[in-house]
Amino acid sequence: MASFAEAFRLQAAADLRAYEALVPTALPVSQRLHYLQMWLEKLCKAYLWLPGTDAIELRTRHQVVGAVLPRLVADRWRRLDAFEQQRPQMPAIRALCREVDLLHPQVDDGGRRPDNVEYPWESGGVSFVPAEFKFALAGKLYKNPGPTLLKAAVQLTKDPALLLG
Amino acid sequence: MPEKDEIARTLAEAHRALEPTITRIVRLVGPQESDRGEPIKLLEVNTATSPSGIWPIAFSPDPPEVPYGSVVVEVTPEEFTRIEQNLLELPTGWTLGEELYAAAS
Repeated sequence: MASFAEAFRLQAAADLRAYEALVPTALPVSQRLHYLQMWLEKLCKAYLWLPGTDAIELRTRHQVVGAVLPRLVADRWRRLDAFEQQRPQMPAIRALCREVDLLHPQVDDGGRRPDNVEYPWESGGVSFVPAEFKFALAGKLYKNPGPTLLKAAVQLTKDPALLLG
Repeated sequence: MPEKDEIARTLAEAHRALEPTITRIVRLVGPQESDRGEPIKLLEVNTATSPSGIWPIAFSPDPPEVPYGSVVVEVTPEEFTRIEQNLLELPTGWTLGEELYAAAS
């Protein structure tokens, strides 16, 4: 039976496969970003070490990507022993991770960011549909350091070498 | 093999080098700290992180340099102040230990 952490990683890997399948399709960008958010959230939860915290509590916690993924990227980079040559742009990576958290409908920066990938929202008397919305994050993922972040996340998902226990 | 304390200092230095926004690193000590299976635990104060509470992030050993597992808890300077004032709780049994790095003020 998979450990608790490994169970989250395996489910993250399934979300990653769905994300990768959606990227080359003509389906709305919101659909692939939805899987991106779910993938990265579960990946981050696989690395949390909270004695006494159970799966049910973790399931309901959000805003985890911005809090955890930058540290995962940094540690992976340290292990590669490559940061003397090319350091990852940590402030930009942190900003991207925060944008991923904001894709979740329950994370809206105190009402300032109602845009999300799941449910329609209203702003200024106008209704918005996620499937028709132009998410700025989609473009940022293809510009530096977006590829650095995604590459690290893919490797952390597929190779559990960094997972404790 | 390097001692656990020495490895903790090496890890702290590596993390600080990677993220200049880290202003303080403090060792966290648990009740089973002398056990070989107990990971090295670092509390890192980072001005670039967002206030999200205590999220211990665990990593596997990375031998030969880091033969122990490690755990990083990243907090904002304000959260660190709250930890010192016992207003923000660390996981049960964990206490603040040696300061491994402090940025010049």
